[in-house]
Amino acid sequence: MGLGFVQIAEIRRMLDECAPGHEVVPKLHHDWIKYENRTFQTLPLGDHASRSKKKAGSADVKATYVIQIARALKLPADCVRKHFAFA
Amino acid sequence: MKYPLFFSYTDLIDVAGVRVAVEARGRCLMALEHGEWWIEGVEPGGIAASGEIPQQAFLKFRHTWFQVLEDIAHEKSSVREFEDEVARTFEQLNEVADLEWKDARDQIRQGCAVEDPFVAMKRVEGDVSAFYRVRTYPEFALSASKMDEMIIPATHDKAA
Repeated sequence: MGLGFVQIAEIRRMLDECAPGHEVVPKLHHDWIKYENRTFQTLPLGDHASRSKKKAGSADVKATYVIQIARALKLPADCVRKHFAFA
Repeated sequence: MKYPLFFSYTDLIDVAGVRVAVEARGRCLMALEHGEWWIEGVEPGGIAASGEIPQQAFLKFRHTWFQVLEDIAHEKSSVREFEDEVARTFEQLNEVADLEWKDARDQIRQGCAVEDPFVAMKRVEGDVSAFYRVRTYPEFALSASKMDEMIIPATHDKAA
C-alpha cells in the first residue's frame, strides 16, 4: 500500500534544487528540514537501514513524506514534480 | 475525504534534569492517501505520520509528537530554551493544510457524512483554539489529570 519508498538521497537532491539554502539538522529521532521560516520535523532516519546506508543517504523512507515535506515547507510544486512525478 | 481533527496530548519530558509536562491542543488533517492513512499537523505544522488503518495512524502521530518533544529536549540546557523551541514548533502553521482543514470542517458542519472510526469521535461545537503549555512536574501533578483525545467538529454548527 502507499506510494512505495524513495531514498533519502533523492529527497536531498530535490531539496537542493527546490529549497535553496535549506538545512537538514539531525536530531535524536528524526532529521529536521529547515527552510526559510519553516521546519519539517519528522523526516525519518530510515529505521531499517544500516548505519552505512543512512550515512550514504540510501536509506528508504515512505514516498508520501515527499508530499508532506513539500506542503509543510511550501515548496514549488512544479519543481518537486521534476524529481518526483507523484508529488 | 479529508478529516479535520483536534488533538489534545499531555507528555512528561525530562529537560536538563527537570521533569516538565507539555500540554498541547492542536489541529491536524487526516486522509486516506494511496491506501495509507496520513495525519499531518496543521498547528503545529511540521509533523506527519501514517498508518495502515486510522487507529494505527492516530497512535503513530501521537508517538511522533512525543518524539519531536524528545528531539527538542535532548539538546536543550534549560527549561526556558526547551519552552522557546516548543513555542516555535507549535506556532508554525502549515498554510496548505490549514486551508484544506477549514474546507473539510465546513463540509462536516454542513452535514457531510463521516465514516468509522470518525463517526464515534467526540464532537465539538465551534472552534477550539490551539494551545500549549509547559509546566514543571510538581506544579502539573497538583492539577487535574489530563487525558489524550482526538475530537472532530460537530455537524450543523453555525459558528464561524
